[in-house]
Amino acid sequence: MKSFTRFGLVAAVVVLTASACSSSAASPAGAGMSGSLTIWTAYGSGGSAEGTAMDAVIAKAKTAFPSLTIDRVEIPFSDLFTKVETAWAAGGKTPDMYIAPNDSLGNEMRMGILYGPLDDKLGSSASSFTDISIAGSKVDGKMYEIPESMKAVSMFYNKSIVATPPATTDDLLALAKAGTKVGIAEYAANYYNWWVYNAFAGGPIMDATGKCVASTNGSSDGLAYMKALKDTGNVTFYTDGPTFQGDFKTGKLGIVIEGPWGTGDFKTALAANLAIAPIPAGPKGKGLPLSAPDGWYINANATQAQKDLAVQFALWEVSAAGGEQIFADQAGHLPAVKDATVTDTISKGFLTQMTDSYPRPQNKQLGAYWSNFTNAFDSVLLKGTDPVQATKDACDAMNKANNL
Amino acid sequence: MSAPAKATYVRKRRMFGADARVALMYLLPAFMVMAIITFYPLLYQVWMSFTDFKNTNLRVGSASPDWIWFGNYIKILTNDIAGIPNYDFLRILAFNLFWAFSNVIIHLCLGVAIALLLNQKKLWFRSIYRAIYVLPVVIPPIIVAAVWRNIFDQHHGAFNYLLAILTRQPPGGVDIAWLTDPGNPIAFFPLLPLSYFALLATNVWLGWPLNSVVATGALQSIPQDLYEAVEIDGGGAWTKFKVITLPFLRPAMLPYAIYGFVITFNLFYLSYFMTAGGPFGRTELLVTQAYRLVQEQQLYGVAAAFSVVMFVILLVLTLITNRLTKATASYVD
Repeated sequence: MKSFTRFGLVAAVVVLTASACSSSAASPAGAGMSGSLTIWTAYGSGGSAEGTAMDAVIAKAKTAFPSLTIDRVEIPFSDLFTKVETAWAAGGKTPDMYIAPNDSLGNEMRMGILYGPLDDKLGSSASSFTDISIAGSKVDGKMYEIPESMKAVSMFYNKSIVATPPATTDDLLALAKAGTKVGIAEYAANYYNWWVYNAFAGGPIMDATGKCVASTNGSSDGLAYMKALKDTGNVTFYTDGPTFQGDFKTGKLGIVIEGPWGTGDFKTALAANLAIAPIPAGPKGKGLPLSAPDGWYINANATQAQKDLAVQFALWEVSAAGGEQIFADQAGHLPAVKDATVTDTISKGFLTQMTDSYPRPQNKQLGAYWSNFTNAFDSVLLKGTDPVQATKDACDAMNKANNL
Repeated sequence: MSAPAKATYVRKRRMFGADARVALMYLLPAFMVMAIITFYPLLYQVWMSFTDFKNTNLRVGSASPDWIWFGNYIKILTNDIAGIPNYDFLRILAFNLFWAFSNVIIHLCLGVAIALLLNQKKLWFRSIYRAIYVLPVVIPPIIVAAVWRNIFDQHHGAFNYLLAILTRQPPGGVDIAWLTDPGNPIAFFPLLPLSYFALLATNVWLGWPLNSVVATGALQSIPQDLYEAVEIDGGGAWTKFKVITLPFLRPAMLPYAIYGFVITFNLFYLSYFMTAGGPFGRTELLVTQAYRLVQEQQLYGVAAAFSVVMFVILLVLTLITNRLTKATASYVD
């Protein structure tokens, strides 16, 4: 009887320990998920590929987990971060989670509204993520989002116009001089054209402390190069996305630097003429674009049970067996996990570009980069300001804003 | 009871009598709602303007921001807001004032002129015209901004296309960067970039119809026998306009002009969505700058101070214009 009691106690301890462990390291398959989740997305509700894929993923989750209720709320992307930050900062428990690029990851972590670090919540899924997606999900070395897919710009070209894509910045300039029409985004210029600084400086504009070093490392040559492109008369700098994409789709442009979000429409318009190549390398290094994962962010105000459920759902969704293959197949997402397969040529091209990309920094100093370097970019292109002076002014302003 | 004592008694009774208490009871719910949704946020904003409130202070239970007295106001007025290129408070204020005044004057003149035209009794289908010309007002602002931004697009815009046709050039022959050209079309007045004129054209298209509606209402209230009296006295059309039409229009148009001034002064969406404040911040308005301080820089304290400064500027301007134009006086005063 005594041994029976002892066995019972040991068994109880084992069961309790197992259940305690399961709550701290969520099951990657999302097994047995039940409860209710409110999620916010910004994938469009008007029949966009991403919106349709998200619908399919949720439908699959509902079939796989009948006890799980998912309430998806679509928010315009321009309002997404502000709405989430306002709601969560005020202590709101809704939404439980949302999916977005990592634009505000560092900002929201520092606000204290994100559940994390998540490093020890991944369980056996930890090894399934690509290194670059993990790198893009970290702030100060700790994970605060569960990466879903990767995004970076790369170089699309129209095979009926461009026989051989330019491999170097000199090649691109020569093509433009010879009459090939090229499109470059002037809107969000600093995101789209981050690559040019690495190509001409051999490194990023900031050092490890967040101090701007662009004025001393040759980044200004990147701006001078952009001006040289413009001066060919065959390179157009676009101030709005639809026109930019439209001109490539209608064959007015032979080359554009654009992200995977343009793939679907480009394919429809150009069919077999659409091709992709890595961004040209410069004299000092490769043209590394900023790369950033879209990922799941979890509400720090939620109850522990809701946080665990949110982590479970996120890990299920980003797995190939869960939702990620749907996103890869239907919306052209570049999976953050290794087991989801990509068969499409263009998506494979983006995966190649991803290996030559620069994970978007999450330090607060980057916040002063955007407006100051946009100003430098515009000053050189529109006013003809000396690139060295424009870069120095931008760098000084950035360092002043960061007290560096 | 002496007369002064009686007056005091009546005043006290009015203030504290049963009728006053009933009136206050009726007003109380509205006051309570206003206290929560209007006065508290206003006072909170004024308090924020004296602190270094940042996004980390948004979180419930976070540490209070530091009290920095007039630090934010000094930063605003001395152009010492780090991280914002092309920021110049006086230039933004001057542009904002010119933007508001120029728009209101054009709206008013055009609105009244068109109302006078459409008030002609012999005009056919005038009720149809009146219905059509208010259409711009009912189009959502974001659509208006997007459409006009495309019209003024450098490479594909309808306006450059039209100019090419008018100047007998091939399509694409006119390549004016209406929204991004940093040059000064009026050399002696460098406050105004080309994009100002694009914004002005858009806002004139938007602004005159309501002025016309107000003017039409005022015109229709003028008794016809007054005009007949002028005719009997030998007055012509100009005399009728000067002596009768204009004085009758004033009580309706001037308050609306002041209202229009405030609206135009704070007209966010055209500057923000059409030109993004550009080129180089030259079409930035105070209200768009305040928004950028919060949305892009997350400088909540500075943005709060900025809004207080805007409020003071508008209050002073409204009081001055009201005083000068006697906008709230009726035509019998």
